[in-house]
Amino acid sequence: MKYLLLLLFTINVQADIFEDVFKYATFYGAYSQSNSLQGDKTFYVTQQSELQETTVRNPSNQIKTFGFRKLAHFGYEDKNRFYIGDETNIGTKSNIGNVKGLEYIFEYSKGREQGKSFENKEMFVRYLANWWLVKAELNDNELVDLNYKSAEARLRIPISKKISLSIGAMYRTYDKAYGHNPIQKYLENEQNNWWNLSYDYGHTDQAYSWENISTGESGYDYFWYDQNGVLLSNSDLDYRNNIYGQLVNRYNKEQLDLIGSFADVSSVIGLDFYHYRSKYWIHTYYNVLPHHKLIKGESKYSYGEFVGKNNWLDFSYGGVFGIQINKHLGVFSEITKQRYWDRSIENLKIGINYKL
Amino acid sequence: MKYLKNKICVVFALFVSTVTVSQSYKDDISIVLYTAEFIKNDDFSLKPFKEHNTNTFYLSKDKKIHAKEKIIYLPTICLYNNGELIEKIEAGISMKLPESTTQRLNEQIDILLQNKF
Repeated sequence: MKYLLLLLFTINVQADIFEDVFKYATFYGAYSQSNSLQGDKTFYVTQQSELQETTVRNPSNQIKTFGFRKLAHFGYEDKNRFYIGDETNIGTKSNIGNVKGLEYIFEYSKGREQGKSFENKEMFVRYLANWWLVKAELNDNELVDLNYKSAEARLRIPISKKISLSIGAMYRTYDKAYGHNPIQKYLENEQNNWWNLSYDYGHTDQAYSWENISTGESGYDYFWYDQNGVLLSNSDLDYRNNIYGQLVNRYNKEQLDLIGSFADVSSVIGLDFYHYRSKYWIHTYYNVLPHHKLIKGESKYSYGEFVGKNNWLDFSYGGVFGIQINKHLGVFSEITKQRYWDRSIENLKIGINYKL
Repeated sequence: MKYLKNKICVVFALFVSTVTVSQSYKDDISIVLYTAEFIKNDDFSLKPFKEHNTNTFYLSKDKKIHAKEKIIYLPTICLYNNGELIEKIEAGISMKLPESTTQRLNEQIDILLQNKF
């Protein structure tokens, strides 16, 4: 009898948890395809005056997305009938949601954009209670070269039903030594000339002299070859303009990859305000991260070392404002800004609608 | 330009302060019980709705709100969503809310929540 009661209790508890976690959740899958941007036609003329088209054709853009989400829209957000994975999800950025409790997004997408293949992963989980909140995020976006993880816990102090202050700590990872520029350090070394980097990557040069038979002017320059002896450029200038930049990017990436990733724990203070009516709405959020402590990664390459202190100010804020002045006229604006380490992301939308 | 920025800040601050104090009992999903001290509400409780905003307005203390919301019968239960009245359940001459009140409110709340996701 005891076991039966225990079983019934367990089933009941599990049913409640199942409802809390999955009620209103949506599983979605989508495939979309669109034309990619095509550049101008390009041609090559041979020595025999033969015209050859060299236009690079980008294959069509396509994306497959799978996701599982339970994230409430704010009143002002336009809700599509179906989820396709391109939703902006303002709720993930602020410290309040349009519902309390558990919200989440798990999304995976794979595709091709302007001929470049990419794979994106996104995870967002937040539990919002009256007096506290916890949040975890993972974003690996190959399309915009963004890769970070974060987790935070905050105490919430509701100043009123519409204003909420929050204080806590945030753990953030970053996979690049922000602020550090390896090629700059390389070239600052007096023993390194710019061409030493080319030699390091197997490129070779060969000097030649030239004479302008019309003017009698003469000089010298260099042919540049790759590691297989294939001619890359006919001059230093052409080589630096067209080839050297690729080596610099490769060098920077390799050096930054050697340094590895970092993780900081930062204090965080947030302020949120949300008010919605069908005729006007306003939603603002602010997050300030004033103190930081490096907990993973080589300290000499950390961002704190780069700026020379551990109390630099990272912040993010955003605001959405809209008003339907009358049945014809409406104005809206949306602004978001985030400055984490030396990376800034800004968006601004402002507009007016007049319905005849 | 500087004066324009200042004006925008002042307008914004006024707007925020106005909406902060305005009709907060109707924000988001709110369940409001309009009643009077002499009425026993033993058969109805706002406790099952504690996840949402709940308010009780007594006739003696909140006469203006009763008048503004045009409350005729006591007790009356109103369900609001962002200021909009979604459901109004009134007691009859018996001064008792219908037995199905909680169920009706839950059904409407479920629809409202579903529309958010």
